[in-house]
Amino acid sequence: MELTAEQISALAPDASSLAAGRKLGGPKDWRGTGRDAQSLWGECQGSALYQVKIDRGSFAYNCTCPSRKLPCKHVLGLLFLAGSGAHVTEGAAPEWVSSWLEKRTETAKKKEEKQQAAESKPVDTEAQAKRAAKRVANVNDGISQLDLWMADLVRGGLGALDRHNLTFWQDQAKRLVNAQARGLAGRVERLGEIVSSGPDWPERFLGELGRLSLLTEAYGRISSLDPRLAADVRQMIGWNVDELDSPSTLQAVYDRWLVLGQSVTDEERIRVERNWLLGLSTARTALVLQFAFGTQPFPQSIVPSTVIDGEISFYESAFPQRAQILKRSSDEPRYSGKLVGSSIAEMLTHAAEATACQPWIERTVGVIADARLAPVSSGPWQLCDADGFAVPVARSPRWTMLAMTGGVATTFAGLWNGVAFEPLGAVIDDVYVAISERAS
Amino acid sequence: MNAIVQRAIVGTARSGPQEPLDHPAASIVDARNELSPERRLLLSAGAMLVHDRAGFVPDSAPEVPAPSPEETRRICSPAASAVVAELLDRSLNAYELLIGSLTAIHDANYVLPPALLPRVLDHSNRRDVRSAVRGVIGERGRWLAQFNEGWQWARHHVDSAETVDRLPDDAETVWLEGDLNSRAELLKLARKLDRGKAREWLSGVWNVEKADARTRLLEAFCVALDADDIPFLEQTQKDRSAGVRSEAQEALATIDGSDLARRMRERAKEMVRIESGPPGIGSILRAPVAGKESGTRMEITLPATLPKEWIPDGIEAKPPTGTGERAWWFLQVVSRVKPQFWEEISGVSPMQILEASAHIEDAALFHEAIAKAATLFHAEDWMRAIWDFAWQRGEQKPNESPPDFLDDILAVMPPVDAEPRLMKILAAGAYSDAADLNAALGAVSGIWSEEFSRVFLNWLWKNYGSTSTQSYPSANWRNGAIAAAVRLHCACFDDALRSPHSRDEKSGYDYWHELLESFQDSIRLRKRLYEAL
Repeated sequence: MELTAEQISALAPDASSLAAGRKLGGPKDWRGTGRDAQSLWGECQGSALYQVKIDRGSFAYNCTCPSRKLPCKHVLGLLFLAGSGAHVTEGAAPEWVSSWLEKRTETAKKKEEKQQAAESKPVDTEAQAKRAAKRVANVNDGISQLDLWMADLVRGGLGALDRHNLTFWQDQAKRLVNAQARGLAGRVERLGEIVSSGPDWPERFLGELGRLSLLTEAYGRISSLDPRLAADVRQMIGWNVDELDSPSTLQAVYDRWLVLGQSVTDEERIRVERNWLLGLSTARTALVLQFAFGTQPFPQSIVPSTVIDGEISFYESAFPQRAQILKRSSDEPRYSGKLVGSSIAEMLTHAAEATACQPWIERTVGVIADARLAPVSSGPWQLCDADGFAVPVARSPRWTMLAMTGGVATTFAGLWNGVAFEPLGAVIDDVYVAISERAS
Repeated sequence: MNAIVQRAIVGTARSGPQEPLDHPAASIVDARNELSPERRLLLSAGAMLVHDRAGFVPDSAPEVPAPSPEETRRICSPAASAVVAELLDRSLNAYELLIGSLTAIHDANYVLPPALLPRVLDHSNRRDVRSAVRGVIGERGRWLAQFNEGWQWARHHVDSAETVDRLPDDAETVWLEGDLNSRAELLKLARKLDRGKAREWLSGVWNVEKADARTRLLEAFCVALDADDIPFLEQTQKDRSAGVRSEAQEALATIDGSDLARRMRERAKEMVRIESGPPGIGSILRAPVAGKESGTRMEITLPATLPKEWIPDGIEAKPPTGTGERAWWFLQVVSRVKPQFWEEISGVSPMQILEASAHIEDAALFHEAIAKAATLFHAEDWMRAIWDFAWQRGEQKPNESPPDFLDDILAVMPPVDAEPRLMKILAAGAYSDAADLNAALGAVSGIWSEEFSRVFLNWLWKNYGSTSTQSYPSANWRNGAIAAAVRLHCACFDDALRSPHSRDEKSGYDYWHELLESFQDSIRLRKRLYEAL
């Protein structure tokens, strides 16, 4: 089975690449196409003859074209071509494909060896402690200054905030970056985006400012916190997860992981891919983040609606959610079958428990069984369950979701963000379909 | 949160000492006396937000609409859907190809997959695209459209009158609640299946419709008119909208038994006199005449003034620029008289009448008027005769530009008549500069026959070579290429993709080759869709 048009669309870096990829989805531009159990390949005649190869196990890809957009239009075109069925026949992989696969295996092996070597390397503990102490002092200074700044805001009143331009928020964020508290800097920048963003902005602004104050308060008492919550607080302040956890302390869970949905955002020069996964046996949910500079590809190819058979390790947290893929044996292009879902009340209880464990949690996964969308004309749409309860639905991509479900009761997967349900996908005709904006 | 938000908006510096907040989360913070008022407010706000989110209480479910009805047609394959998605990605000038593709999907009895519906509904802002979209969105699309203000036009679909033999079950609802396009389609269908019903529908709402809607609906109503329609049309002839009056007058002129048609015939007969048989003493002719073989003679007398009783029948006094008043009045009357009338009163064939008209002073005016009448009355014999007659005259006088009505007639002729005539044009090389090629090609509606498609391709390869010395193809060439790409017969796809021409590498950017690539690109898409269906 090959990827569906929706899944290929979700892989595309932008709309123009997707359009160009679709254009290459016919047999005319291709020669020497083929596939075997492990790979898919073809040569595409562009300005030159480009060799395109795709690892069908992990959906990793490579093309000899010079495009800086990844995956390039040739990779997308080959996926569309293979998806259309008739034009890619089974056969033995040519040398340029098998050598690429061998090289990939070799590189993965070297990386693992390098990591093991790095772990076994003796550490200069004294220098490390000195660096850590300096950072704590920096962060403490930054937080003291942030607390004063926040107190000034409420002393002067929120009514005066809309006269500030973007620089006001950016300057404060920069001070926090200098204090090595990048996590807090991001929160301050987002605060600036709330001002004047709708009639209820003072309430939303005050709520977020309050949560930021709770965070600096918690950091002030970090030594008395549960170690797992302390790890969460440090991470939210700006410590990287890698700095906090060594791989050996991570909690590994093996399962078949369904990729419920994916989003990619640009944060300055870094692209951040958020993948929400659901363990089909364990019913655990995971958030796998990937980062890429500029137009570089993400380290792993994670495709919505596919199932990753492998081991995932969760970072230490009071409510473990963030994870990384540790071992990946194979991928299934789609999941056919039922998803175990809950009621809306159960989803909210789960979210409340998560908030009790980690009060700053932004989103939790909800899988609601036997639910239907109600497109309300005045006010937000509602997701309604069989018990007669409803929660508001976020705007995007609700129309595609309504079109695909046709108003029939089914299982919806999405994220509960404390005020609304953000749909990720739904079970359509017994197959889970992640729904993106760029549906095809 | 209201009380605390109020305090924060004013600012702690101005709000003075405050009562404790009535909120369970705030009370935790209130217990900490060492905190400053600002810190107390901030921590309370944070705690209240976390508390309220954790304790979110769901509403009771609102009424959920009934699910979409079962689809009656199959969903097209992913490959076919990918072609439509690609066309939606393209710029606006792909709309002809989009319409052609959607029509092909509809004709193959498929609908689009649900995931594509929001995009295709959002994309459709042209009337012709909407008409094609309505045919492929299926039950799911119509169900979906009811929830979006901007998609109301898609809620009802009426199949074209050519392909349906009964009114849809929800006909009454569509008529009363549908958008204007759907209602017009329905009215056309009703005219074919139940003329009385159509009349009853339209007369029932006539007084409450706006002028634009009245014009559009009347236009749809005027199909297969007969004597029973005369009273209603005579009533609409007095409408306050000029557009409606004009439509009604034109319609009445086409019904044999109407007073207006009778008046027009009488007026025309006064101006055009045709006589058959050998000329003799007392001949009506003032000037010698052609039609020597048949002995048919003709005389035209233009009206000296505009009789005031002509005006209520829609005869306009003021001519357009470049036309004389008398010629204009003549043209309006004769173009509203059924061409067969001249055969009836003279007893000779259309071609004999045309030959007789060849040398009279106002021949061109008569030809223009009779050509308009032939298209208005869909008089196929006359259209063929006029076109062939004008074409032969053009061959005899190659320096004269062909009359405009040649293309107008091609546009109304059935393809079976239009294609051989267009082949003549192509074979003669008359349009080698593509000046009017676009209009001529567009005239043959629907998919071309295989024979015509092959003739066109041969013409294209020949003229592409001979005209590529120009650095830039004209807009007519571009539009003609689009028209051809949309209409070429599927049996010629492979031939169209094997161009004998290659890129001109010497002269920098080759705009002609770009045009060819665009033509072939469209053919490739159609081929993909054809294979997918």
